[in-house]
Amino acid sequence: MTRHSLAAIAALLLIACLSCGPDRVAAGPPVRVLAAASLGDVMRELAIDYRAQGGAVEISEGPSGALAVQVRRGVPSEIVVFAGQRPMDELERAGFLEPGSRINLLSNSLIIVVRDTYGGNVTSLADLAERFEGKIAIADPDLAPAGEYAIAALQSAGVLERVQGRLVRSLDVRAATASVSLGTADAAVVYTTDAIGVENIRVAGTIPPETYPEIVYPAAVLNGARDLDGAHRFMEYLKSERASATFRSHGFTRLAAMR
Amino acid sequence: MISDWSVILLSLRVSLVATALVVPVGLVVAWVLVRKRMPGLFILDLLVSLPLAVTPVVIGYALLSVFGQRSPVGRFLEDTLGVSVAFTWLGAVLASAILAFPLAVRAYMVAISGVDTRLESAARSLGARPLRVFATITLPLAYRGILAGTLLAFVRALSEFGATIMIAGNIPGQTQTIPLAIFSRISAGRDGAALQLVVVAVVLAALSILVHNYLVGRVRTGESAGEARGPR
Repeated sequence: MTRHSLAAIAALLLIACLSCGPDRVAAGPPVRVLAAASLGDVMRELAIDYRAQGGAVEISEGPSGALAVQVRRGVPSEIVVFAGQRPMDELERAGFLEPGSRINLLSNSLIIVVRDTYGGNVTSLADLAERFEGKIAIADPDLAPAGEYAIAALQSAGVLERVQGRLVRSLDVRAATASVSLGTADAAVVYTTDAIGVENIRVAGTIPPETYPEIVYPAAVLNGARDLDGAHRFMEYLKSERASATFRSHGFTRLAAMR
Repeated sequence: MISDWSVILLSLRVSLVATALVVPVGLVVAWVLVRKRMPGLFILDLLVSLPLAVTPVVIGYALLSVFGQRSPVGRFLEDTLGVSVAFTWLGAVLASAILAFPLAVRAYMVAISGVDTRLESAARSLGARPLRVFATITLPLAYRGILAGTLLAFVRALSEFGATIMIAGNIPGQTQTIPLAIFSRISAGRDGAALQLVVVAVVLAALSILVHNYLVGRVRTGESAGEARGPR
């Protein structure tokens, strides 16, 4: 073999290495799911399980706004899952959803978390107002739905005015949880799913779900789907008992009811 | 499971290819901006700086508008050439390259404007064509500034997030670069895992600076040798 042909082979290999996507899947495009960032971990876990059963799926996660733009601009994708109804409503109005495919997949709930070293007995929002003096972190209601829900719950409990001066608004619900974990706030009103796996905090109490609007994660098939059958199969999987066990282990409640 | 290594390797690959695109185009644009006098240059200058002036999310939005399936450009690339940019690592390359471009061009402009034009015209008067003048006079004399600009571009490409998550999505093993993985881990409350990648990013930046310094050191000795030999 001449030196030239060796060089040519090396160059071809280099081009091949640069031009192929990493971990490229061999046959047909996988079902692509655009998921809210707060669902990233659980969706990836489900994707691994689904692949183990022979299905082909890939998860791309991002902020809701980014996901909605991606759908509108025609990124090839099959399913969207949002952390709120608003972006899904907009996509539905604009005609991007496969008719009849939209479901309320998951629900979340609100809890009170405190530092794990806190020894007092606080279990309700009323306790936070009366028997607690520290700062209370919530997500900024202007920026994140979690904050709106927290304000609604405080209002229903009739204590919003009394705790107003001690409320700390965080960028999002993760940051509210982190501020307790890091010690810059003493308690926080956050999603059940946020407390899982976070160090230095403990769940002090749950907030009655009838005191705030239902927290819903809707899912739907996109009508621009390349593989409608595959998309519907994965939706069925998301609604299955097997998937809901995984959702539960991450703190979500499965709804899977038609809207 | 997608390991840290695949995230790191993808990030390096995206940043290297993005930098490889930025260097030649950036040199030509910088040279035109510094050495050419013609109308409309201000517009070009503005266009070059634009990615720094607007938020990266806007660049990502623009890229999606151009390369998405709803645009004729995106459809042509996909249907006729079989190339998809949206949600592939090519999209990540493009996003990184565009955001890194202004930093490189600015540094290249300073470097090229520091080269004595009399040396270039001397070369031309001896019959050298413009490309040869650029390659044998301008480039070697502007070498250090060009290296600095290229370093900036590479490090900026490594950290690109906002445009990338729009055009390339955030798919582990395919388009999830270091900044996107950090975002995912923070969103999932896995701060420790996120911090690991932050440390990796800092180490990569440090290595880039060391490589840059090594190359600058080499050219310094090269120049002094040239001065010793050449008539003054």
